[in-house]
Amino acid sequence: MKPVPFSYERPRDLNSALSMLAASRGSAKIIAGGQSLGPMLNLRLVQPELVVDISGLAELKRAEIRGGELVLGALVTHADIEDGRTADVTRGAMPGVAANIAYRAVRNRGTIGGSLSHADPAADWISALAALGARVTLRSLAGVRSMAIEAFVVGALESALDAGEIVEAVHVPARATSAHWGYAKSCRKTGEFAHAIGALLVDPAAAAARVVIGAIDTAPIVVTDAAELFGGRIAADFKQRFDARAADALLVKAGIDDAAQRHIHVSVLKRAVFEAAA
Amino acid sequence: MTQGYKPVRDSGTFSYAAHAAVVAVDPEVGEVEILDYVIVEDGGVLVNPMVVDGQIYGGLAQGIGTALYEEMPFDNSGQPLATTLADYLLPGATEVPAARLDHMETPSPYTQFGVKGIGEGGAIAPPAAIANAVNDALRPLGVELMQSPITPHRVVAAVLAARTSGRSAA
Ligand SMILES: Cc1cc2nc3c(=O)[nH]c(=O)nc-3n(C[C@H](O)[C@H](O)[C@H](O)COP(=O)(O)OP(=O)(O)OC[C@H]3O[C@@H](n4cnc5c(N)ncnc54)[C@H](O)[C@@H]3O)c2cc1C
Repeated sequence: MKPVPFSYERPRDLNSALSMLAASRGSAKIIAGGQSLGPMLNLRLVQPELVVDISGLAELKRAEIRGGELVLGALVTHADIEDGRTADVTRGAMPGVAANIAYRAVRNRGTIGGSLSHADPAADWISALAALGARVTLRSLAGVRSMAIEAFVVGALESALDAGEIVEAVHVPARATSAHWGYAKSCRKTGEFAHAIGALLVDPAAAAARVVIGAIDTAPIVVTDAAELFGGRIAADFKQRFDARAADALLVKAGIDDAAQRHIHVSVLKRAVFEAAA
Repeated sequence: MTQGYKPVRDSGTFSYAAHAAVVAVDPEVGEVEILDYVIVEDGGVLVNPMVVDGQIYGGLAQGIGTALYEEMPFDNSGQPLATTLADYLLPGATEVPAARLDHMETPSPYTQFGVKGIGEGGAIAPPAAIANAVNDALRPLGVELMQSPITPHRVVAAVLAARTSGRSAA
């Protein structure tokens, strides 16, 4: 199919982009890498009057370490992160996730801000960055606000973005040297979206763990204090203490009544736990 | 007037093929990986061996699709659920292994150069060969899958069913 007719603008600075969005009163769509919006337009799942191409905004391409955390502009691509063209504060966690998103052609164009805004439940960043404890900053003409990834992703293809708002940057906290990272996903074929994602950041020294079960039909399950999944205590033996039944209970609570589907999710999370412990 | 051509002998010129698959199955996640695949085909005299190999490889890809990916499901009111190639999965280059091919050349006594039809041999056998291999891998768990495509969900559902019914030895 072909998209509906739309007008196209490519603003040169962030303020002009925000003005265009504000003036359009919700009838505009932002395009960044176009890897998700392109298909959505062609299937007429979105029918904007105006497409605002933000790919020329230098403000959104910056990547720098500020106050110990990494600030990635929304236009940083998966390939930038994979190839190490941007700094890394996660000791390889983010480049590892980036390298397994779709395939290279998609990674060359797809952006971190676009991926988060699209809020596909099966996408990688919404799960991985929630596990890493990252935050997003959103900007509109009215100003800036900031929120945790798990607050930003509201449901399937649903984010907390208001009309007129743009994802400006992602703020990723540095991963402690004592923190273990595990990320696993199951895809039916190469480049296919995952049907199960498990992510965790475990720091036995701080007795803390964040766990994410993603690629369920809605926003990922994010457990910011995951002691319940490890028998009530996070310690060096977290691999042995991993409680598959507690993970299963979370999925039941999320409304997944298909036992095989839950089993796949728990098994993928277990892979991530084993990777973190390795 | 309608005219046709009817050869003296019209029984067809069937080729013969045998497929063997070695697979790895993860019973917890339901993933199936093809580790090795061998095809021996008797297409009679090979007039252009390159074309024959291409036909068999292409058939194998199609057969792997039938075995593991391609499905046209419908919901209860008859709506098709796989209407785009995002939902209707086809094997890509990374899902089709570099199969090992061998040929027997038993000339057909009925054709001009001893050739045989080579069209379908590659595509028909893979679902059976792959399903048999998957079932062989899952046999200790008391699992036998009887439906294609063999999806992760079907594998895990069958494994869980065998566990609860106590069929599993493991
Ligand atoms: C074949 C294929 C396979 C894929 N597989 C995976 C996968 O395995 N894992 C995965 O995570 N992803 C996958 N993707 C998606 C890919 O990662 C996209 O890059 C990403 O979802 C969208 O990024 P984009 O820059 O292309 O955004 P676009 O397509 O340009 O935009 C997507 C949406 O976000 C909005 N948007 C974009 N930027 C902003 C911003 N800064 N502020 C506010 N709104 C914004 C747009 O309006 C649109 O609604 C796949 C895509 C394809 C085509």
